[in-house]
Order: sequence, then structure tokens, then C-alpha cells
Amino acid sequence: MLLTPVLVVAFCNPVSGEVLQDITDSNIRSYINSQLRTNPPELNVVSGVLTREAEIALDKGETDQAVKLLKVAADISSSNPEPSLLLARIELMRANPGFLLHLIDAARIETGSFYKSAIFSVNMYIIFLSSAGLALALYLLALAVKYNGEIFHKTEEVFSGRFKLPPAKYLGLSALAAMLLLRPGFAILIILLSAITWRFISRKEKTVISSLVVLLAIASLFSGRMNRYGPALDEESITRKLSMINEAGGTDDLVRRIRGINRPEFSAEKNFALGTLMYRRGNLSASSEYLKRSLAERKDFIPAYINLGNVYFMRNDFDKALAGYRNATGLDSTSAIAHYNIGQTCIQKMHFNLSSTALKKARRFGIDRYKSENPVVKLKNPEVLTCGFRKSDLENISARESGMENFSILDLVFRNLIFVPVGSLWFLLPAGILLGVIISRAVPQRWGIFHCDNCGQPVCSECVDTGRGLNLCQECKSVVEGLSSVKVMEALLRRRRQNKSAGMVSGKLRALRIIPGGAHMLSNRVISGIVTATIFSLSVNLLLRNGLYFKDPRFSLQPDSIWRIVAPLMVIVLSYVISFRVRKPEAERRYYILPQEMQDMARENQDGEKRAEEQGQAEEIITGPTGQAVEDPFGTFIDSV
Amino acid sequence: MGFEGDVKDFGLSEIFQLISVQQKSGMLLVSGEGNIAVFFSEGMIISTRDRRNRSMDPLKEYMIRYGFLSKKVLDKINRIQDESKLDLTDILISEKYFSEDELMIIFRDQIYETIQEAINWPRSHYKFISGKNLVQGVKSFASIKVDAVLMESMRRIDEFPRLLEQFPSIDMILERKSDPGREIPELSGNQEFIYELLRDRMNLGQVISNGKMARFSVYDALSKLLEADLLQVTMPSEKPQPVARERSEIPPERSPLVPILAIAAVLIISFLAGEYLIPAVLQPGWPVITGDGKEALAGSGLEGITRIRAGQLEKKITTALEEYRASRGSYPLTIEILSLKGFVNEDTVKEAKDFGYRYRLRNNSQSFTLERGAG
Repeated sequence: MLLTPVLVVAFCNPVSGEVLQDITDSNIRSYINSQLRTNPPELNVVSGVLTREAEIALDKGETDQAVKLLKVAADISSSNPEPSLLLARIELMRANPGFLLHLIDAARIETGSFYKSAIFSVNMYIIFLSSAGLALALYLLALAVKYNGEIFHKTEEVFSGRFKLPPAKYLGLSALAAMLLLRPGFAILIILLSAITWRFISRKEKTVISSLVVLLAIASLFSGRMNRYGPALDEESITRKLSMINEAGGTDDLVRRIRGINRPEFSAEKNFALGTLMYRRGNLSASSEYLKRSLAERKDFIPAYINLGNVYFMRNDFDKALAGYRNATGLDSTSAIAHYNIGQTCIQKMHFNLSSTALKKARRFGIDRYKSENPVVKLKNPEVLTCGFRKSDLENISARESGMENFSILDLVFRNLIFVPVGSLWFLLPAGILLGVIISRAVPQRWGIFHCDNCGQPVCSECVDTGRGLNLCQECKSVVEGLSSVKVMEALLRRRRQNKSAGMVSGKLRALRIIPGGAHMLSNRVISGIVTATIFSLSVNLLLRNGLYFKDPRFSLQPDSIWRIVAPLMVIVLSYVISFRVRKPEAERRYYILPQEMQDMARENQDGEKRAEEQGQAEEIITGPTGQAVEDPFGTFIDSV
Repeated sequence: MGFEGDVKDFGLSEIFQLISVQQKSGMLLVSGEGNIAVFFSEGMIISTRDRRNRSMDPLKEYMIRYGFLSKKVLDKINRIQDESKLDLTDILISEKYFSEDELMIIFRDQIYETIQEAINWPRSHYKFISGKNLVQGVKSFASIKVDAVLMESMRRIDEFPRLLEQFPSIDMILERKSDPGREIPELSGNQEFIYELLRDRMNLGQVISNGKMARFSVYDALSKLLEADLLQVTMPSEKPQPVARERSEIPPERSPLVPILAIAAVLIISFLAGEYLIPAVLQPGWPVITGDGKEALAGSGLEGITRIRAGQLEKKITTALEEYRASRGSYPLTIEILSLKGFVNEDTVKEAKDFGYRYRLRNNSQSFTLERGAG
């Protein structure tokens, strides 16, 4: 199985220029011819049509025909990943490990061009930020429910003397309702919850929250870098218009759109794009004019030198063409296209040795990759190759444009959810934790919250009862108040321990099951909890956005697969099932709770009494009105009469 | 194995004797004017407390009736019982209200009284269930011979009418004679106790309920004291002194109104802040009344995302139109055809209309315009 990819690569034949022979449909052939007249780098529309036809063939069960069409579709487009994905699916159904190669192809396409990598990066960033953010919010909400009693303990204690306060759970619900009504956005919500819960949560829970906050803060720091991709996603942006020359031929529409760019800062790039399009349309004089203007504005514009060289080449002015190419190699000695075109020009000038050297260099510097990125080259086999914008050029244009426009794609996506710039999260989220830490430190020692040793209710040093060698809450204290028997006290405390803590845990568990992963947190399964919450958040995001936030509008399988809804829904349901299967955490099973000394003392007293009874010393006598001693049958309760 | 029947056929005392002679272990259930359960162990009576019925405990009733437990103590015991499910006898001994010996006496007297009551019922039905396992776990502080119980019961049944004639009303006022004028004769324990009790004048009902002994024993002791000329009895012309009731401290009423109002105020303030303050400080906010979201979006400069979406939608439809032309040779008459033929889904066409896109064919279906008007 490991050898298969190697073997497939080894015996993989290069695609011939006869790839279109398999296309028999006259309409498509006619469309291809009309497209080829504008010299596009690839045939995306035809690739899309062939993919659709392959899908229809697949539905009919004509797998071989579908594979044939998909291979052609993949060969004529370098930015359509769908043929590779469908081929992978077919191979997977055939249990052929070759599907991996198609998947790798699809992944390469998805991250290959600037436009594709921009969409991919921004989508991944959005998925990460929204999933991690939602998971953090859910986690903090679950912690607020878990530590509800602790959070409201002091409020209850301070006011319950004067007013009849509702129980802590209702205070918690009211606080939650207040937050919902306040609608402060997710960022402020996270800050508030972090600050409120920090004082009470365990070290493990603090670690998880800090880790998530750190991840989100790092992501926030990278938001500026991510925003540079923003213009690429806007079909009306300068970046996108210019990048179109890497995908389409010299069509009227594209020329019109590029002419519509009126920002002087991008004049060199605009002239280059127009020059390139004119060259593709065969208008060499206009092309030369635009390219010269471009070079006049930007001396180091390598693609402009190459394309201007091509104009001279087409005019059979090989010396000027060579000069242009050599200017390009002077600026970038690794330019495969420049070396290839030098090789072709040298052939025309009968300098075969120089040509051979240049072509070898072209191969070494990756001319084959250029050909795979520009599949039409394989169909038309031109003498010299045209250069579009390089990935680095487009990144530079996009960065400049986003900087000038103050354009933040991430704010556009997230602003109506978090109400603050994404770039400010790096200090806002840690500020929530910092606030929590400050509150923890600022709160007086006597307000420190710990738990009743019997029922687990939160207590503080002001309300705790330590008279029996235990930390008892007021309710537990009142239960055993005035009692002397260790046995009765134990029974009462045990009963309350069983009822109260079980009831408290059940109530919290019911509430926490609404939040996937929340039930885990109650059982102190912190990692499982955060993993479940994250998977749930990821699925919710995928479901709400029907997969990715931004999609390449040129390619999308039609109709949308039902799995895009079913798969995340299944994961959401599964996360709830997992949450509901979490059992109630087992309370510590202690039969006796009172300190050993008290138990021993009680036992000694009992033994003593028994001994006294045996010796006949336990009789008590009362004196009657006559002064004679009479036996009091119920001496111990005579006072209550 | 067991038997059952009616007292018309076999009297209850015969049944008791039968069980005793046979030295049976088990439970005898008697239902007449009330229900009782008598537990036998090898022919001896060990208890009349049926703990399957937790709401009715003859021992507790007995102790309440004859003043063994004050109200305060009773409340406490009830609370402990409710919260701990401990048996009454465990609580009484553990909390040292009574010693085991004292409880034994009370327990025995209660058995006597209960059985005497049952024997007195003119009509009753009994059922005996035999088995040693039935008496396992029955808490007992006495093991009484049936003969003794029956003899004592019979004595009480015989003597009680005479005592009732002597003390016909429970409202009768009893008090010590201020000066008996002679030395007080030797009194038995019960007589001594009742004599002590009558330091203050009280009526017969009060003596019974504070007597800490069975009704018959109170009557008997009073009769003896009367015979010894230590008491004087008056008919209830005057009202008896009301017994001072124990005052339970009622905690001051705390008002739930203030917290409810405070919570309501917090909720209202939160809503108003979410409606006005947050959208002003942190745009766009989520105002419900003051805006439909679109306005807030426009104010915050976030309409850019709508523009991007529109641009992507336009590209999607343009690509679909091109694909249609590539496969059909010309552009479609309407963009709805794209969804009908599966080039885009219905939602895309609907979305395009929502965004205000208008599609027009040109040049004999060889070109088109797709322009965005007012959405």
C-alpha cells in the first residue's frame, strides 16, 4: 500500500495536447475554441461543465466515462479541486489506495494559487476563532453553573438576614438572564465570565481556560496578517481584479474591469495586467505600450520584462526579446519562465548551446510546475510563455490594498458577534483573566469560600461552624444543634449528606447537560469536557455556515451535499448523547463523618454507662414532698413536667 | 402458615393463649375499632409496634398521650426521625431522654394498654401470620408472658368501671388537701408521682396527660390517694386554669418583595443597556426595538460583508451562466432555468433576486448583462 503512490507517480504519463479528444459535445468544443482565442491560462468553465457531466454519468452508473471526463476536467484547470475530489471518491469506492493521490491533488489545488490559499487561510482562521471562542464561552458558562453556589454565597449570606432571598440557582438564572438581556457580545461575555468564575475554579480548569485564551490571543495577534488576504475575497477589490489575469484570457469583460481600476498606487500593476491581456488578444502594440508604462513606474517588475520580451519575440525582434528576458533573470535568476523564453529565443537565433543551457535551467527552476498551473499551455504549446502575477506580487498588492482601505475581513465576519475588533482580543481576553486574578487577590481572606465537610455546600469563615471539629454549613449545623448523641448526629448528617449533595449534584447535572461537555466538568473530567465542547462548537459553526464561510464561487458541487447538514448534525447529536451518558459523579462515601475523637468519646461513655448500670449505680432518686426517698421511674424527664 | 377469624367465634384472649401454649413466633393482626399488630416470639409478646406503618407508632402515641414527651422534645424527635429515619427508641436512648430501664417500663405499659384496648373491642377480626422471620429485626424492650398480660388486662377491665364512677368527668378539679392533719402514709411510686404532680390544682384531663403512666394507673393512683384522704375533688364550676402553652419563637417575617424588585430592576436595566448603551459603545450591538439590525450594520461600516457576499453571488451566477452556454450553446432565457437544470440551487437564484440582480440577454442570446439594482 505504501508503494502504490510511488508506483503511480513513476508510471504517470505526462498529459498530451490531445486531452480534448474525449470531448465530443459540439457545444463544448465550440466554447473551448472561443475561449482559446483569448489565450486563457486555464479553462475553468469547461472544467466545471465536464465535472457536472461526470457527476451525471456517475449517477447513471457509467463510472469509466465519468473517470475519463474528470481526468480531462482536472487537466484543463489548475484551480478546480472538484474533479480530483470526485476521482478520489470513485477510487475510494473501488477500494483503490490511489484515492490518496487525488486527495493530495485536491489539497494542493486548494492551497495552490494566491486566491485559493487566501480563501483557505481565512476559512481556517474563521473556523478556529469561532470554534475556540464558542468552546471557551460554553466552558465558562458551564463553570458558572458549576460554581453557582460559590459565586452567590456571599450575596446570599449578606442579604438573607434582611430579605427572603431566592436560592442561589435562581440568582444564577437571573444573572444569566441579565447577561442575555445585556447582549454584550461574545468577547465581553467571555471577559465577564472569566472574571466572575476565576476565583472559584480549580487549577486544572484554570489551565484549560488560560490555554484557550492564549490560543485565541495568538490568533488575534495574527489577525492583521490574515486581513491581508481580505481583498482577495472581494470580487470588486483591486487585488481580485488583477488576480483574474492568472485565471482568464483577454476577454472584453476582464479588460473593462481592469481599466476600471483608478487608484494611482496600483498603476504599474494595472498597466502590466492590461499589457498582458492585450498580448493575449494579439494586440501587440497596445501590449507593448502598457508594459513599457508599467516598467517605467516599477523598474523591478519581472513579469512585465518577460511579457514585454514576448511582445518583441512575436515581432521577431529577438535581440530586444532576449534583453527583456535577461533583465528578468538579472532581477531573479531563478525565473523558470525567463530561462525558458531565453531558450526559445536562442533557438530562433540558432544559439543551440545557449538554448540548451537556458532550457535546462528552466526545467531546474520549475517550468513543469508553471505548465501544470497553466494547463492551456499544454493544449496550445506556445513558443514563449506569458507570465501573470506571481503569488508574492498578489500578496503584496493585497496587503497594500487592505492597508490603504483599512479593510479587515475578519472584523466584517466577527464584528456583529463580538462587537470589538478581532485584533483587540489579544489583550481583552487575558484582561478578563487578569480581572479575575485581581478580584481573587482583592477579596478579603474571611470571604474565602470553602465547602461544608458534610453536604459540600459553599461556606465562608463567617458562616462556618467548626464546633464539632468539622466545617459545617449553617443548615448542617442546625440539623445537629442541641443533640448530644454521636449516633443521632451521624445519622442526621449522613441523611443530609446523601439528600443534599445528591440533590445539588442532580440539579447541576441537569443544567449542565444542556451544554455539551458541561456534565464532564461536573465530574472533574476537564479534558473530556473541553474536547466535547470544542467538537460541538466546531459542528455548530460548520452547520450554521453550511461548511466554510467563504467559498470559491466558481466551483461548487451542485446541488449542495446533504452531508454538509447531516454530518455536523450527527456530531451535535452525538455530543449531546455523550453528555447525557455522563453519570452523576459519585459522592465520597463516608459512613461516619464526625471526628474520631468524638466517636471514641461516645463509645467510652456508652461503655461507662453500661458498667454503671451493671453495678446498679444508675438509679436516681428524687425526694418526695414527705422527705422520703422515692424511686423516680422517669427521672430524666421530670423537669419537663 | 397462619390462621384468621372473628372474635365472635374465638375470643382474642383464647387466641393469645393458643399462640402462647403453642410457643409460636409471628405476628397477630387485629382490626376492630383500630388496627394493631402484636408480635410474638416463642409464645411471648415482644412488641405491638408495626414498623411497616411508619406513620403510626403506638409507643409514640402512648408517650404523647400521657405526657412523656413535651411539645418541644416531640418536635425535636419528629424532626430527627424525619431527617434520619432512626427508630424512636434509638433516638430516645441516644439522646438520653430515657435510660433503657425507663424505656423498658414505658414499653411494657404501652403493650399492656394496647392489648387491653384490643380485648375490649366488641367486634374485631384477627389474623395470625406465623414465622420467625417476621419477628427478626423487631425492636423490643420487653418479653411478656401472655398470661400476665391477660390477667392484668382483665383486672383493669373489671376495675375500670368502678374508677370511672369515682371520677366521672375529666374536667373534675383535683388538688392536694392543704393540710392533711396527719402524717402522710407510705405511697407507692405511681401515687407518689401523682401526688407530686398535684402541687398545683389541675383537672383530671391534665393529670392524665401529664401523668406519665397509663390511664388506668392514673385513675388507680388517684383513687388510692382519695381513699387516703390526701386529695380533694371539686366539680368543674369554675374554669380550669389554662395550661401555659409553650411559645414557639417565630422568626420575624422576611420580605421576598425587595429581592424580587431588585432582580426585576437589574433585568430591566440590562435590557435597556443592551438596547441603547451597548450598540452606542460596541457597534453594532443587538438592538431589538430600536433597530432591525440592518441599520446598526450600516452605521458600523459592516455592510462590507454584504457587498462581498453580493460579489461572490454575482460571480457564482456568472460562472453558472458560462457553464450553461458551454454545454447548451447559448445563455438561458432566465436565471431560474439555471436552477431548473441544476447549474445552481434554488437558494442561489432566490438570493440573487433578494440582492436585486437583474439578468438580461443580449445579441441573440450570445451575451448577457447581470446588474444589481435596489435590493
